[in-house]
Amino acid sequence: MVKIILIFFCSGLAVISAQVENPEDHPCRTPLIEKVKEHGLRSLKVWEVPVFYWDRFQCRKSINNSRYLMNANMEQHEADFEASKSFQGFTSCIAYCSIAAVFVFIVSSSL
Amino acid sequence: MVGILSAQPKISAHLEMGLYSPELTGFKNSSLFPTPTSVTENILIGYGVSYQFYPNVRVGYASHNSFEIGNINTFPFTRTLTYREFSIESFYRPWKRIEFNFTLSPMYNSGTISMTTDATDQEWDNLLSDFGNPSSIVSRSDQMTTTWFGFTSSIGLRYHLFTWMSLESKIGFMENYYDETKWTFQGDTVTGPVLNLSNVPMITMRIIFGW
Repeated sequence: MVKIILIFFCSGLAVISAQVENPEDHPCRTPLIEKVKEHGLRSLKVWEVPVFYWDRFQCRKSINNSRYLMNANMEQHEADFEASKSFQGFTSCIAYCSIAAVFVFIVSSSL
Repeated sequence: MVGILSAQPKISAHLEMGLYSPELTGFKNSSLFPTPTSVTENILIGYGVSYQFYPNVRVGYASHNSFEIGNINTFPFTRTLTYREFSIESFYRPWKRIEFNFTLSPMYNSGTISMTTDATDQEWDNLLSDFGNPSSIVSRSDQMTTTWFGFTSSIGLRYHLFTWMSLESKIGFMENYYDETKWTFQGDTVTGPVLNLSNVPMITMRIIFGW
């Protein structure tokens, strides 16, 4: 009888412990959310982008915070701005050629 | 290709609508073609893709299409002019969300006029009559086509709404080396409509989706 009670007790404990939420399974701790937090939005591969937005939606819903990870977008704008706030190397050459070509078109069309 | 697709997300695609001002003299002077309206003459609809391969440079492909649908003597026709850009574009951001870009593009363009007419085809007529059918009228579709090279240059302003979506406006010109004597119809060289596509100003609005 004692053995049977012990077996029920142990199996009950096992079931209850299985129901306790593992912190790693929290909707806000998916690999893609962690990746974006660490490396930014552009670290995502093309096919990871929709999955990330779905993960973020689930996360926001679970913590009831519609602005969670909102700064990831701004941080990415900041990073993009830093990467392209000035021309580098030959890139200015393309801009000068383009401006010159438009100028020539305007002059020749007005003649 | 797999490497490019799985790499850092720098691929973008866009849809666009634009205005340009060619002189479609051949269509205007034709007694058969409907007179072009501002919609059929000046509106461009297009799409494109680009790939950023350097911090400030993208290469891409874009297609701008002008088309007209109507009837010539009750027979339906379509006329399309397709301008295809193979672009290289450099850009910089003076502010976080705003970007200026500069584009140079060789072009490979094409024109098509297709028409569906009713024709009596003797062989089909014989065959169908043999099966006991009345005399038949067979619908026949054919087209005349041409291609030509061109060049375009434009300056654009892009506003980044999100990291994955932006709006852009471009102003530029295109030069076309169109020759009306180089149309082909059923394998033969024929003369097509006179079109003045030289120094054509162009304004486009784009919605861009990128990763």
